[in-house]
Amino acid sequence: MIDKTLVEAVLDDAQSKGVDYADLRADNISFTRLIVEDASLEHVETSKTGGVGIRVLYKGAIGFAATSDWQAKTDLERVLERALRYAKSAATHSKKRIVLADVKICQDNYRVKEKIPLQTLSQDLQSQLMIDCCKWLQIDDEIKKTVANAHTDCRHELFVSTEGAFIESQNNRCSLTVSCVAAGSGQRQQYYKRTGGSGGWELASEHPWQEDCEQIAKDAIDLTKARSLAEEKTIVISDPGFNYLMAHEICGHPSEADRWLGWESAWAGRAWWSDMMGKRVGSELMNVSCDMTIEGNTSYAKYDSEGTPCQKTPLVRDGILVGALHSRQTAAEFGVVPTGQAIAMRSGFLPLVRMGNTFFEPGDWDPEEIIADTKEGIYVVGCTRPSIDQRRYSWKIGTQKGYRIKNGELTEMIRNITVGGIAPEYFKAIDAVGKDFILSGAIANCMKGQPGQLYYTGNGGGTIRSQAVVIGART
Amino acid sequence: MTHKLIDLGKEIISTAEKADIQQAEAYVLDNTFTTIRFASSQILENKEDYVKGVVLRVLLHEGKIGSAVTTTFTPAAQQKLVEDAIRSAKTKSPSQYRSFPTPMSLKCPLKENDLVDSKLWDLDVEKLIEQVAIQIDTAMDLNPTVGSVSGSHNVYLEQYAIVNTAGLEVCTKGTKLSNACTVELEAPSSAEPISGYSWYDGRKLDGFDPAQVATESAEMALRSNNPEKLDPGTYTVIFEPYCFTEILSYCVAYALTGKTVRDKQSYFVDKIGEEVAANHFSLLDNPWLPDGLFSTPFDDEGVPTKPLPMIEKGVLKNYIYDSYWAMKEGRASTGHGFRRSDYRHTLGVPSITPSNYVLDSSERVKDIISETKDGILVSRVWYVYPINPLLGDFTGCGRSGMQIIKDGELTTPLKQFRFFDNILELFKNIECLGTNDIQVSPWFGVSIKTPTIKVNNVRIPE
Repeated sequence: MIDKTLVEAVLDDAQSKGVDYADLRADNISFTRLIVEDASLEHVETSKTGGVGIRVLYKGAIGFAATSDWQAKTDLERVLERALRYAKSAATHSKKRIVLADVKICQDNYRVKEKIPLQTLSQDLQSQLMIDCCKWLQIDDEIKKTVANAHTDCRHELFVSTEGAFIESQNNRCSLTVSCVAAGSGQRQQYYKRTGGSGGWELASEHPWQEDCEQIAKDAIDLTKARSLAEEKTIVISDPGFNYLMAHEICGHPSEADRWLGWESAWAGRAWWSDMMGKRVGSELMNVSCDMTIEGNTSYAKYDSEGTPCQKTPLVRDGILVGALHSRQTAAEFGVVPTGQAIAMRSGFLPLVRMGNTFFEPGDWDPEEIIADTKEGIYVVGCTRPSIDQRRYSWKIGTQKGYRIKNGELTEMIRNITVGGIAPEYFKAIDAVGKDFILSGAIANCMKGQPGQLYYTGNGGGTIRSQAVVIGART
Repeated sequence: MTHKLIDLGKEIISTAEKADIQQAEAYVLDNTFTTIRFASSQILENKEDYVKGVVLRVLLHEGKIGSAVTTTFTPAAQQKLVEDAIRSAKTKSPSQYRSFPTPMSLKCPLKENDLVDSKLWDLDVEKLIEQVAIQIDTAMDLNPTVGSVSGSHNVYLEQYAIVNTAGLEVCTKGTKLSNACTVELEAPSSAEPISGYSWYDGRKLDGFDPAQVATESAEMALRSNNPEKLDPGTYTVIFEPYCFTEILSYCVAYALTGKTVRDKQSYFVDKIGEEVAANHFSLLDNPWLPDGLFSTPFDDEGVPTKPLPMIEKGVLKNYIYDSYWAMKEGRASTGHGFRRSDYRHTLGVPSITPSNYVLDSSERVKDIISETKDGILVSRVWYVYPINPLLGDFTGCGRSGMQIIKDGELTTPLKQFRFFDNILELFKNIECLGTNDIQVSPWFGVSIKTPTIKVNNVRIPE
């Protein structure tokens, strides 16, 4: 990693050039991806990349420059010069000064806990588990394709600011996703499961994959024989795997304060509840939080990319909107304290407000009790892809599988269910929340920003009962 | 500069050749991405990211390929790169892959000055920020009801080289200017934002007029005020160019790759030679498109490119391949092994990606709107995704510029609404194309040249 005296010299240089504030982020990122298809390791890639990015605040304007190619102080001085040039030019056109809210200035050095360290992980060990998974999936000739996809991402990061922050971290993440395609009865159906998070390979290897793979394969086969449905408004009970996307798309993104300010109106959109602070957005059983400090979870971090300590932020309590997620810039606009949610994908990008781990807090019900208490409805499991409108008000989320509920029992399996609703109507109709609590995620699949920044978020919660429209396949 | 990249690539494969390998390939990328991001009528982000990196792929005996990436070029880092690539390759399962692409003559008629604009290459930061300031002022001055101007102004400069021990040695460079401007009205008449949208995507600075983009966006917002709710039903929809690019990028492109088809995860499986669209509709993958954002004489494995019909007069003609998955199918690469999304990355392994899609039809109508008795216009869609990717079911929302068409005239503006349909149904329901062909490259999407498109029987659910 970059030498401390060199960093301090560059930031001293920035101050001597008249900046109001500057920070420097450096990183070394080791990444691997292995893909096993039909028990054959088809894809192996490893990368070791890194760089330095410098952000300056000059007369109320931000400038940022980054490079992956630096060896000496002169290279960093050139980056600083570019950042300053951007800020100075923008300052001449800015009608409003950008302000960064105050934060606690921290010095720290931390490392994620691992039992099986990722940086020294044997690819043979990884691939053997993945090959085994593919074999365990192959329970029948109707299974036409088996895939195991694993990644590791080890980040050594440094954050230093002219305010005195100096934070060094080593955060490692991994995931393992297994999936299969089954064909039969004129249908092709896919099913998948993923595990992982922040930590070592034990997050993947200690999972009961043999049992899960057999169930995944069985589900895919059963889905080829399952019924479809037309369209109906009904009671929907959703498992934590489905609520992963609900929490992410309909609660997490709308909590990002840059959307409230319209700063994402051209791209990621706005937020359906941005003018509802202190107002009811859901039933009394709805409680939503964001917490990046949960060790082992996907977006675990002690500090964000601005050096702000991460914290648990309540977003909805008893159905009332009580909070939002902030960077230093958005916090200054609202006159609140930053929540530690400004995250950059790597040193080459400026931090953006990102949701981190956002989830529905658990309730009092056993999940089985919720089903037993339901006369008629649909139970949906897992998620595929979402589609939401510009405010995340109208939404549709695909599911992996579903079952019709009759008289408190799961009956026939149903395939290709898409659940859709209007956000406040759906949340206000919640009348049961399970005590089961699962956070999913594990991969970097949340995109925001221009250029796009892909990052890790962990989402989920317990089983939830509400009312929604369910729609079957269009063909 | 590109020759320096070739030299670096040669240096690295020369280091690799000292180890026990069959072949080596170095992909050397040097790119700069500059973005001025503006929102709420103020400049928010001014940033530049310079990346120089090398991807080394090695081929061992039994067709084992491994790859490694570095952004450090010291002799020790190069040695580590080779070791990492070899270790990866040893892990991989054997295959019939026996050689990285060999040198072949490049037929692409495009010259360097078709792909590179020296004015853009040398453009000052100050000029970029000034162009954004012009956009904000132009839109805000157009009408007092204009509330905010947002968007991003991006300049992308790239140069890259591919060198391998099979004798291949190619390099090229390119420029790209991508500007997008969203205008929202102050105190709109409904709870949802009333917005307009316009953009410029091209390789040259001269075609870009910041004020024109801002004006188009503001005018769309102004004519969208006082929107009404659209009743659920089945409609004839006039999709303006930006809409179809999102549908094709996110819901169609993946289904036309040979890998997805091989995995039986495409709704185009076993449909070569079959009618999959209206019989007047054609979709061409054209890497030689003049000014095309992803035009290139060779792909990121060095395989020469050429135009490839995907759908011709409604009939599915081809899938696309890179060299590895083409080998798996016993065929030749179609020159679609790329390492990019909307710009190039140092991806360890190429992925099968289209070049530029070009839409065409024998049914062209100059003024589609005036020829439409009943229908709706959609100018920009949002979050279009395949809900059931194996079936082609997709959904998305109209976001900007929605209006009812009655007797050939644009009438009532519409609130945002959702459509939920199937790609194969949509393709078969294409009635005609307009004549206003324009290039668009949506966020993380495919570069597409398309006119306005008229589609019948589009399903708008409750």
